Amino acid sequence: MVLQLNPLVNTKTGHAAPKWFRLDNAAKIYPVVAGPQNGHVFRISMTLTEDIDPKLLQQAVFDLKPRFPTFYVRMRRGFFWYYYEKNERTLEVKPEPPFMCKSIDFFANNGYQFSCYYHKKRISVEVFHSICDGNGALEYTKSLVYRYLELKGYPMESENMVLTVDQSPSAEEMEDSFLKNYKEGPSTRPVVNKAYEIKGTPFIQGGTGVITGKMSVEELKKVAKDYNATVTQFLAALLAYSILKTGDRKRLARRPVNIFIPVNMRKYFNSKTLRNFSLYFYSIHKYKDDSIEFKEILEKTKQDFEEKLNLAHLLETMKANVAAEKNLAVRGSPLFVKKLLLKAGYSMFANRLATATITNLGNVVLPSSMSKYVEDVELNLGARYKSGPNAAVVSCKGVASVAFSRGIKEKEVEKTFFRFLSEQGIKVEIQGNYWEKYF
Amino acid sequence: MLYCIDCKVRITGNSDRCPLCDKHMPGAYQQNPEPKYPEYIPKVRSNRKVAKAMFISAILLIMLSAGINALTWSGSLWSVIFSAYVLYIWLMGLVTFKTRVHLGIKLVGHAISVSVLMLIMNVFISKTGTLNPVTWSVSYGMPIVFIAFIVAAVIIMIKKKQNRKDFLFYLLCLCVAGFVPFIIVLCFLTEPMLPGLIAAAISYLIIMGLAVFARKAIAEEFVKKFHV
Ligand SMILES: [Zn+2]
Repeated sequence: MVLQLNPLVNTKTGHAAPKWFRLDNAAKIYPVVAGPQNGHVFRISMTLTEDIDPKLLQQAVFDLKPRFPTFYVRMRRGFFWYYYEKNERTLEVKPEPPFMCKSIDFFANNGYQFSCYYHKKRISVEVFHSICDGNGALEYTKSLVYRYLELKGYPMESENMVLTVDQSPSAEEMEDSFLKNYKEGPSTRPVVNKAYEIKGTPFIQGGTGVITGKMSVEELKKVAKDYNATVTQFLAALLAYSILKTGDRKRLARRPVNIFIPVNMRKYFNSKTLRNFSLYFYSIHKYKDDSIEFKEILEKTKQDFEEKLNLAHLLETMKANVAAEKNLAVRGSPLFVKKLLLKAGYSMFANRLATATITNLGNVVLPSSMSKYVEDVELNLGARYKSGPNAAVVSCKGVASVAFSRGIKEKEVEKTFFRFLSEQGIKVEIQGNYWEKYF
Repeated sequence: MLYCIDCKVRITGNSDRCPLCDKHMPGAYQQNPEPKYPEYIPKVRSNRKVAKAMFISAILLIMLSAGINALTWSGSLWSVIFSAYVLYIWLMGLVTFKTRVHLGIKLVGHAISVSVLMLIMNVFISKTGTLNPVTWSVSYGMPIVFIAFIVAAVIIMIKKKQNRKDFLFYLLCLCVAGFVPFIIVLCFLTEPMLPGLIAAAISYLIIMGLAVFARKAIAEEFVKKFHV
């Protein structure tokens, strides 16, 4: 298919779009550790009010190319580091595959590290974590759907809430905010111990088992408020509670349940980057005895949020991460040596620090002209092979979606989680991809 | 909409089971015709079968030739050459179609491996007692191979406008390798020298041409490839 550039599209990439750029501090780890076992891919999807027209979607993907130079790239191998370079080929939109968030086959994807899919009324963007984090991907998805609706012929007004194709990308959108906001100095990386691991029957061919619960934000907020907590605290505590309730008692006694919570750093530094700028902290829960009280776990969660969800604590992690990248011995060793070391380090330590992840992308606000055509927004994480569920939360138009992705057949955690919510009087609507029936 | 009384949740999608507790709820298909996610259809992976068949037939051919060679021994180890051929064809197929490295890397890899293969053949074919066992492979074989691969790389670069710059680095590698047969021929004073000289000359011309016309692009390529 030959695509014509729409005259509306601003082709001037501006002064800022570089021919090539380095991977940002967070991005550097993913190409090394990603594989069929864990693709480090996540998905943002928007369901519209009518079936998707693939041709228009293809055109929309094409039109966004000058606006999002950090997305339309291919990764190349240098002698010391990987780097990104503008991708001259076309990103083809495809029907949504049943295997959600499969590790992206860059070769088959014309070198691109993200894919666009359509299924009935849904447009999905699956992104390899190296090019951006959840917030960056959300901006892209919003723009894609906005452009798609524009091409459909609907009158659209961006109200400065969506990046549009008639703008030029800015240097701030392309910056490595880690490097920009990093302050040199001694750092102590917060110590985290090996975590309890949720075990189960793996899907032999891999794949992601999805269970998504949708509920009213109002109801969820009210319940959280009754517990004197924020929604994120409440859901993180509930995840820990569900794992402690359903876990293996013997192994729980030995290792803590570590809930990995990503934090969007943009608001701390007023960053506009569309690349990675997230850090993280752990909420840690030790198993005492069988009398597991939700309130007690919530108190511990709130305490962890209090202590760790602040700039000082997060900066320690950032300093340590950037210092590792800036280390002369690291910089000077060839790429294959770095890969070997990183891979070994990751599988020995970093890989086992989290029992489960819960990420909250927050409330997605759309301009009213666009909101009419969007039914809901979903966020899905990819499942690691053999691993227990991870949760992703996003809300739009008053509906919160809590999506679990798992690599095992068992779904006790999800069952406990959503049953608890419905016991609190929240009306929950469940959908799943029933992955366990295939394997 | 379906409702699971055990989980106290509503169910969407077109399955007749609760995603949480697997409770059966009849009549689901009528109520929810739209599946939320596409159906998984298992695929037969023909690629793998072909690869397996190739591997097994390569092994069988090698064993067969070794057997015939041994049974009808006539003083020459022709089965080694034959095995090298078979192994090379198998490896070439594997490397070319299975691995996902840049075409430029594949070109350089093939040029080197074909040269090595010819050296092996040359050594095993030559009769013992010859002063210089390695003759035709460095005199004719390697120069021709390098000229062919350099020409191939140039043609690819002309055709692939979009990714032309990607090949600069690998073309340079091939041109550097293009001097090797001439150097060997000079060291061993093997006759004839002309093909090696031609390969070296072509390599030299291309390197000079690149230095004149593509200096900026090459410099950029080196900055990218070697940034610390
Ligand atoms: Zn149920």
